[in-house]
Amino acid sequence: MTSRFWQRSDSEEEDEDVSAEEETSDEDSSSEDEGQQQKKGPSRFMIGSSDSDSDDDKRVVRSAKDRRFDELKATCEEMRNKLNINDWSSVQSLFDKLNKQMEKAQKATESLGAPRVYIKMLVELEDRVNATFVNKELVKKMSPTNNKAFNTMRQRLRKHNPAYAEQMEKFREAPESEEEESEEEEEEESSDEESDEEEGEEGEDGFEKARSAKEKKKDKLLTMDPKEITFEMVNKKLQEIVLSRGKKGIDRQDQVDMLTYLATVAKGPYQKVEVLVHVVSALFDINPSMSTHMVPALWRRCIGVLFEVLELLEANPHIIMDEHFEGNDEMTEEPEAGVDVRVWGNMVAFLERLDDEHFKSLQVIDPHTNQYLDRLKDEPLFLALAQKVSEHFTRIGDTKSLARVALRRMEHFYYKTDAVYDAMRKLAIAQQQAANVVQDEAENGDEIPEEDEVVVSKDSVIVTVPADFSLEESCQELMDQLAVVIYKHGDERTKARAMLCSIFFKAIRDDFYTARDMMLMSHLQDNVQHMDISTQILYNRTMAQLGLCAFRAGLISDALAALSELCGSGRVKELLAQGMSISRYQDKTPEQEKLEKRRQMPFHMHINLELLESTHLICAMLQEVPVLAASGMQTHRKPLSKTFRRLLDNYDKQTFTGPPENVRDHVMASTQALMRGDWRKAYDYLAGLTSWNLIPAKETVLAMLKAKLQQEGLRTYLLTYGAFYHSLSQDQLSDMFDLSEKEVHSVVSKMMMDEMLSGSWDQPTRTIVMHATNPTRLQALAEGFAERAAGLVDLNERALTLRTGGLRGEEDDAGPRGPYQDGQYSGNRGGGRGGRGRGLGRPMLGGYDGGAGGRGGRGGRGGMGSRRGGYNNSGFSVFGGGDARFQGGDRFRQKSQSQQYDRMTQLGRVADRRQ
Amino acid sequence: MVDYAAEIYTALYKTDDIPEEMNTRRKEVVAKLKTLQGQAESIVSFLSSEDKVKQLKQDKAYNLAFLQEEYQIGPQQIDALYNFAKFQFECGNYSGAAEFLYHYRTLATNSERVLSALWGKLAAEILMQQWETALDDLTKLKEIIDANTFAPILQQLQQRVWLMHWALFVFFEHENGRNAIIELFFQDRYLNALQTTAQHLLRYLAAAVVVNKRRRNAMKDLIRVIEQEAYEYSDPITQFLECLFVHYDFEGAQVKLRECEEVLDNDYFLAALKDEFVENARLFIFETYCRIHQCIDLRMLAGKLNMDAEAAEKWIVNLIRHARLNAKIDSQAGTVVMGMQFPSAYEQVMEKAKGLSQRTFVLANLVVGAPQT
Repeated sequence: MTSRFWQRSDSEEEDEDVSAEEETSDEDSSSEDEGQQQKKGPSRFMIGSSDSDSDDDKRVVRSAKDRRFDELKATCEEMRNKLNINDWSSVQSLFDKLNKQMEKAQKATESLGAPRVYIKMLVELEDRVNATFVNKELVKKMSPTNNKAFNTMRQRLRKHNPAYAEQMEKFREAPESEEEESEEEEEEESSDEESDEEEGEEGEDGFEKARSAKEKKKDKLLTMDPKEITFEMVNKKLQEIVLSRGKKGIDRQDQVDMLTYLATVAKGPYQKVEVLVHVVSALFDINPSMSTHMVPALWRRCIGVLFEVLELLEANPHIIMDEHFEGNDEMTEEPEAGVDVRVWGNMVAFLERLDDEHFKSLQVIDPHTNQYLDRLKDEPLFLALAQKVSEHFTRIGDTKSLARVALRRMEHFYYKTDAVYDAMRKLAIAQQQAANVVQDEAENGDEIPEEDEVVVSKDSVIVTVPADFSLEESCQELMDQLAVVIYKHGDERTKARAMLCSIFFKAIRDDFYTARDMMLMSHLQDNVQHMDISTQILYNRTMAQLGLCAFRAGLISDALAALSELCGSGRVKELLAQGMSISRYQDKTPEQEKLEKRRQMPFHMHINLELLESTHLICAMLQEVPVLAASGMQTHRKPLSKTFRRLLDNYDKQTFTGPPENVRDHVMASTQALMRGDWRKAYDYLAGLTSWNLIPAKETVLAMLKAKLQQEGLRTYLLTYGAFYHSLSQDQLSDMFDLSEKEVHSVVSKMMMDEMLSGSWDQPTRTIVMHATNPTRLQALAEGFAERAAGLVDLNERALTLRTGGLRGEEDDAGPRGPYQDGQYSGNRGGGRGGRGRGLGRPMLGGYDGGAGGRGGRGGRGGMGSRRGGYNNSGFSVFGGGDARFQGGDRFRQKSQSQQYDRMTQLGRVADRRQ
Repeated sequence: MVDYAAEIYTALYKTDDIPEEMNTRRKEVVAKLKTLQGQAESIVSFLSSEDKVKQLKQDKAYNLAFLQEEYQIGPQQIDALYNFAKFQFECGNYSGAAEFLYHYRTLATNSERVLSALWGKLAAEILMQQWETALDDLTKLKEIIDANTFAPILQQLQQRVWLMHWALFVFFEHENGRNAIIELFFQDRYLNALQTTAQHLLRYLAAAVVVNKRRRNAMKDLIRVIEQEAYEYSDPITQFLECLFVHYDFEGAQVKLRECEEVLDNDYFLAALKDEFVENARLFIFETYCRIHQCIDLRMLAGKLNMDAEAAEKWIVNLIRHARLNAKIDSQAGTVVMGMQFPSAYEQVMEKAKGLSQRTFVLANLVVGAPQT
């Protein structure tokens, strides 16, 4: 017998993570032993001590325990005295003290139960209170303060005692023997602990018993035959766990285990759902911090639980999930099937939380490891769950939640190319098949008891993609379905995000026109700065993809318009949330940094920055080079791409240029070649970029690029060197640039029509005859002067417009006018047209500027943002632009300008006076 | 209408018996006509006498009260008039329908009904080929649609697109329609509507612009729109313009022009315009061609213009004579030499400084006048 006890105590010692089975057996035996404990004193003692500590530390701990115990006893004694004299206010304060000591004692002994002394005191206290309460006279006699204290005491006891009700009950049943015993104890209190085994044993026993009593509630459930457990018991236990949620010192893992067990013994689907919902929230609770992610195993388990909940909800349509529903304690029985009952819980919130956790884990995990891949493979699981949830919401007709779920699903699809989607689809199918195999094995193998399954599933979580989950053949259809749902039911933000997702989706499938039209028609670029940051990031990503898409389609100016703002900012990384940009000029607080970190996109969703940069620069190059050639390097007009100009200037300033290394070098070298008219070299430089490999249709894109380079090369050549020829042969040109005669003819004709090239065709000889005559210096100066004068009048008009409150503002906006507006905006009144403008340049840029403003504000650089925001809309900014242009000119001219300006205003003033 | 259908039926099958369903249908229609007529009788009889109609005045409220008092014609009768008119229209009695709808509009207060009455009237006028009145109605409709800015945007868009479609009937028949179509379609709102939902209307707009000699500047806008919409709509006519003015591909333009002829032949609206279109298109090609050439081979030109050399020469001489073309024919070499005029530096300066004084003057006036306003 003794050895048995030893054994057991050993096992208990080892097993910190108390498994249900063992706990139970222990408790069983201890309750069995209760009667025999007098005889088996020593061994009992061993259990008690080994419970808490190893043998070496026993001495110290025991004394500490004892000290607490003594304190408890002393307090009890004092309380008893006060009780006797009916001094309730003292009793009250003593009661507080007692409770505190009790807590300490519990900590010291690391047990949860209450010592016998304490229970005894409680029983006495209760009896006394009841007795006093009945005795009206006594109550009357009491002083007002005393009376008050008594009443409070009564109240508190009423609240306090139920926690110990069972133990008290037990105590009442067998008070005699133990009372005697404890009396003895008290007398022998001061005796040496080593020698006095019995006393120690009793004291320990007190604890042990109290502890077991406390645990009994939990354990009783665990030990009981599942059939005996009633609805009420489960309910009570559930309430208890729920109440303790979030409190200090509660092991969250334990809670989860307990709840999981409860779920298995729950009576009826209603209760099961209720418990499972709490399991989910408990699982979420395990991870305390927002910044760290949930452990994948737990995550999978959570998914599994949610699957279960959904199944139950599906099978029992009378159970309704309600977020605002407060748990009902009164319910004592499983409700009948036909009646509607409510359960607390919010499927959408759970789903979104899971999604966020998945996202977070992907942010944190190193993308070059297998772990990352494994995590990615969890995606189908989530999608399956999301699909189920959608089905659930469709069934109950909760359209609002449906839209939210749809958005979440959409955000898992929108960045996937067809190839990636197919891969995922195959993965999902493979997972399903694997799941089937596992299931078959489980069926063939031994039947595992229910309880074990819980334990198993805890350790190695196998949550499988359910068999009825299927992804659509084509991602397109799926996206369309989801989008339709969202547009119908979603709120503003959801719709905006869905729209962005669709645009992104279209853009990576080379459907530029649809994507662009969607972007323009939805007016997202006007509103995006008012939206939350993650939507802005999505917008930026969409813009980037739109730009890339335009480039692939060969629409250079569209691509530049979409990309210039993004790439020109120098903060591409930050704007796309693909890594932190380190900036010399701004210091981020740790909070900002943390926030930024939380926004980062997981690696698999990244847009390749190198590709983006090269695309942007190439677009800028194709647009800028002919312009540069035409204006003869005079930078008086607004550059199409400031970034490009700056880079080019830097490149030119270098005394020695080595072979190109990075993207910029390549593009710059290519630019130089193109400016010399050497398109072949320019093409070679560009084709040498490695990022082209990232484009699926590499060949076509490169071919497009070649064609563009040929054309722009021809234009540049004609603009640069045309003036030195009297005539140029069409055949020669077509040879030089490897273009067909027709193409050469078309390009040259266009230039003639646009009056960029002063020449004309001589049809019989197939040559271009140049008419350019260099103006004399005087003529050039006169021309310049006239231009300046026109500019001055322009400026004055604008100044006046400003003063008179933009009377003509709209007119100014609509009509191309002044030298700085022509290039980009000429003939682009479409921008102003009814706000729906198809002209891509203007609305896109305008809106995008605005977007940049919003983004600037996000980084705490509102000033810059707002400056950019008003870039090309208001008359004022344009005015400012013009001004800067003057400053760019030489000083003298500037002075004369300002003098003239002064004279003008004076004139105005004189006229004013005359009036 | 049933009668008409029966007529066609008999003509088609060369028989005299009319199918049973047509007979029953006819009976139904007649019965319905009777009831509707009964309902609207009082007002119709009132309207049929001119003297009485003259008693009506501009004021609607007064009219209503007047009718109510004198003839016991209330809102129900007026509604009945609307239904009756609609039925008349359906039966093919367009003049009656137009007449009734006209009166209905003067009497009714329900603005939505008035709008549909106006649509009905326009339809009736178009079917009667009364282009003058149809044009009036069209303008009225346009005013109403444009004034109604509070309607849902989608509805506005729809109304505008309808209007544009219906307007085709009027514009291509009415003598001044070709100007009107350009004016209407190039208005911002209508151009928007066209680009959004009815790109196919571009063809008619393009044809109208090509044919119209006085509105050359509209071409630039048109080309822009065509370019923008090229991915959504293109037909030989727009392709022709694209070839000519975007790519300067003259051979392509020739090919497209030939395709255009075919398209024009089969187009209800444009069939009448065909010759004019071809002539103008040829002129366009020639003009553009000349602008970028200083010397053209006459035979080649003749080939491009689909004429023989003689005719081409004559054609060019005519052009030169009418001062439409600054060129000389070098008959020995068989070439046309363009007279080039390049703006001299002097002219350029003049051009730039032109209007400056005017603008300054306006500006000064504004500055002086500003405090008063």
